[in-house]
Amino acid sequence: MEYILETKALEKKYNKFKAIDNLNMHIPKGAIYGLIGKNGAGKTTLIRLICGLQKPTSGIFMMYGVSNTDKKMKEERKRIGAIVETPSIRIDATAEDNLKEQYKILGLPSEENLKEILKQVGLSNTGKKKAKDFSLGMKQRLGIAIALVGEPDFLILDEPINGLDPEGIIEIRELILKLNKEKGITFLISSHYLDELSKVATHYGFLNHGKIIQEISKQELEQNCRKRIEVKVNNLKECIQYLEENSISYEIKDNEKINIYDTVNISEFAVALSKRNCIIEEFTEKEESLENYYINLIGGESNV
Amino acid sequence: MYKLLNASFFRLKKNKIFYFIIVVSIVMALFVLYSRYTDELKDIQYGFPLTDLKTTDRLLIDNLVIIGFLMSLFTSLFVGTEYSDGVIRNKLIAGHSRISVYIANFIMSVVVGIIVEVIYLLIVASIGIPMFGGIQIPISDFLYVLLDSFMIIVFYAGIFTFISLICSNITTSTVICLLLTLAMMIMAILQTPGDEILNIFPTGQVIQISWLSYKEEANIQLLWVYSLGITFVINTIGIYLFNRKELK
Repeated sequence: MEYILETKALEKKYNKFKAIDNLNMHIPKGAIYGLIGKNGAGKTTLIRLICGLQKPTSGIFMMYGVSNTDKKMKEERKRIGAIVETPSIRIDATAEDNLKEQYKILGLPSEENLKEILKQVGLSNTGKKKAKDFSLGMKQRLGIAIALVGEPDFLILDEPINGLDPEGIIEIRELILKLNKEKGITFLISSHYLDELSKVATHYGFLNHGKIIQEISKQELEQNCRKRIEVKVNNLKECIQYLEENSISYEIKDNEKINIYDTVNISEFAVALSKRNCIIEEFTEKEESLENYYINLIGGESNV
Repeated sequence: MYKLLNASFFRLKKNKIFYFIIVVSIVMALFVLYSRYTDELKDIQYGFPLTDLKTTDRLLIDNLVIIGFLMSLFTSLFVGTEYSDGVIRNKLIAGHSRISVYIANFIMSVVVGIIVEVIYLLIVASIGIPMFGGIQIPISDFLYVLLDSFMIIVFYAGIFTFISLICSNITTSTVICLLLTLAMMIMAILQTPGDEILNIFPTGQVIQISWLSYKEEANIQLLWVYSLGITFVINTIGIYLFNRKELK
């Protein structure tokens, strides 16, 4: 798989405090990677390291296959756009002037796609209105517009929907999906709004205490979260044989437990297993949201 | 570097503080000329000798008294806005090195200081020379004074860029820059001629230039060397610290 960004044993210390601790992350090309973690988990610190605002204490990260210690990284950075915490915009300038300055920062000779970018983010009618008079959602979209100058193929958005009203949240969500679909832009989005993130993300990285505790694709997550019956039996082999014979969809969880995804008649199932000397010891119906999944994961991690 | 300067000049064109300090400098030039003119009228009226009046070369250096304040205000606000608006992040994310960001801001501060000073000089010279006569001091001294004046601007730019980029809070850096200029001014005034401190502070250099060649202690041939050397040291330390700074 081709990765836009990979980190290897990345670490960031502030005095003795490890904000990022042996972090390994993989962002596939074309993905919308949701970085999930509670406040203080290290999301923003990680983004600051990737953006070059701070230097890692140890470990490396590779962007487009180029290491952060390589001098070529300066060139690779031109292929990314980012919003770290708050959108970096000149509040006393218009949307157009904000973009023009970014064109000059990047040294782009032509500003021909300026209007198109403003249109893409829905700010083409702001005219001479200064950014300080924009709503939070408009400021966020302007931040994204600035990040889009230079046609990046990787956008990093740190908490992009923080403080937005429902309408603003929908606007940002639709914009992210549109840019991913139409321009093929890879996204790294940090958030603790799990519900919202689940509407866009194709991959997830769960961050806790500065470590990625799990990376998972949307499909895998849906598989893990979908409605199922978790059964604990004393004879797993017989149970599997029964499920196979009856074409019932299942997944082995461990040596004793099995997840059944199809609907089964509980009485018939129990009787059938009993005839095979297989006793059901536990029987639980489960359906997890991303939120529950995260809480269970973090809880599990905390108990380690 | 060119890209950063290009972006900064684009921003400068619409920067209100820039126009404000230009207006202050123009007002200062007109005020200096007007007070020289009224002094002359009074001296004629009361029959005092006109030789005691300020010559045009002295009028030309009067702006140096306020240039420090103007530059401290401009640099701290112009650079400070990079932090408060977060645009400094855009520059670094776009692949610019911290050294380039630092030097580009320093150059902007120097250029603005020089623009302000040149506007002042042009107004005073174009009106002052026809009205009150030409340069009275030896031309070599006058050229040194000009060189020293421009190097004082470079010196100020070095100090204020350092403060504004190391301290990321715009309000704090603006207050520090203004108070530091005031403190340097007071410190320089309190010194006696010949004190080394008059060489190593831009305000002390301004005082020495104001003596022109009337006092032997005026070190005008060497002041620019002090400015150049100290600015180099300040910039080196500033770049080192800025490189290590954890940006947010």
